[in-house]
Amino acid sequence: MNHKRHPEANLVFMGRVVASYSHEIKNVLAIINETTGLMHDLLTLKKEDLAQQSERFTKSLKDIGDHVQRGQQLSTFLNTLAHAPDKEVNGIDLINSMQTVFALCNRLVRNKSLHLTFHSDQAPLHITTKPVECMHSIFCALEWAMTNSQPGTEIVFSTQAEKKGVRIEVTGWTERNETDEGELFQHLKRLVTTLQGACTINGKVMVITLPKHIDV
Amino acid sequence: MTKILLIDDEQEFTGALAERLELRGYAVQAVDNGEDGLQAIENTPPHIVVLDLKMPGLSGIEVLKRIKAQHPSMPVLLLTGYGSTEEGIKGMQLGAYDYMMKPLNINELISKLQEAVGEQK
Repeated sequence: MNHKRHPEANLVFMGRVVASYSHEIKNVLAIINETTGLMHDLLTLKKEDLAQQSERFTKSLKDIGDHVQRGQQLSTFLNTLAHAPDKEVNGIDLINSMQTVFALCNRLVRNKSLHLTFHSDQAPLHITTKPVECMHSIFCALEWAMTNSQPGTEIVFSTQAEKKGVRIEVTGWTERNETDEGELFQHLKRLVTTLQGACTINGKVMVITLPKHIDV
Repeated sequence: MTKILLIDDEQEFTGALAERLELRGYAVQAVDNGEDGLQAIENTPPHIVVLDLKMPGLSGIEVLKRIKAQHPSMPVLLLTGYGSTEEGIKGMQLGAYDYMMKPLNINELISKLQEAVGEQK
């Protein structure tokens, strides 16, 4: 993504996350579609053959239930994202915002054969901030880490409550060009600055700090 | 019996689809990534490959290019979860027989499989 050519970068971010969601929800629907189709096919079998299919029906019903739940969770996260622009500054649960971005971007992570882990020492973690820019920053940090990781890498996000705010650490990424932090990192720094926070790289750890309450 | 190779990372999807195709008289092998798909083609060449475009590891487009390099006449039917048709068209330009959007209509899938394999025979 060329951030300089997209002044409406928040819109681009939203678009990318929604694209990832829509791909995932299509897979959910495809699984439900094939599973119900299979159940329908089995019902057309002869009575004596159908009697042997009870285990298959039980498994199919479980698969459908699991994927309805998966779709429901994704839709709940999408709804959280959709309401982020309701107020420019608002009280949010940072943990929920991060889980939202990670759940909706799961497909992007998996497509690069990467793994994502998220630890938090406390939940919920309430801060007052700009919700859209906050989620955008998390997305950007994830995208930066993905860009700087080899397939198979586990990217780890963790949060810690501090006296005046929160500290987010990103570890696990494996590569970095020391002399050029790149446009994506500069974009992330600008975003975090609008949240009155800071973003640095210390050795193999990216650290993002955000204030508990943004000054408006 | 027509042999179909399904390549898609959603195992519940390929599992159910494979059973539906088997009930209709096809022999189906399902794998969940491109590398295993390419290996399966070398081990037991299918009559047709049904290939998802978005997968971890080798992308569907990369798998398609490799199949076409080794087996130019093997028909490949693409599956896509995208709302747009761009990726499917790109795949057809690279030699795919056709593309279908998920979720699938089984009757449309069967028609396309028959057309593609019929044209080969």
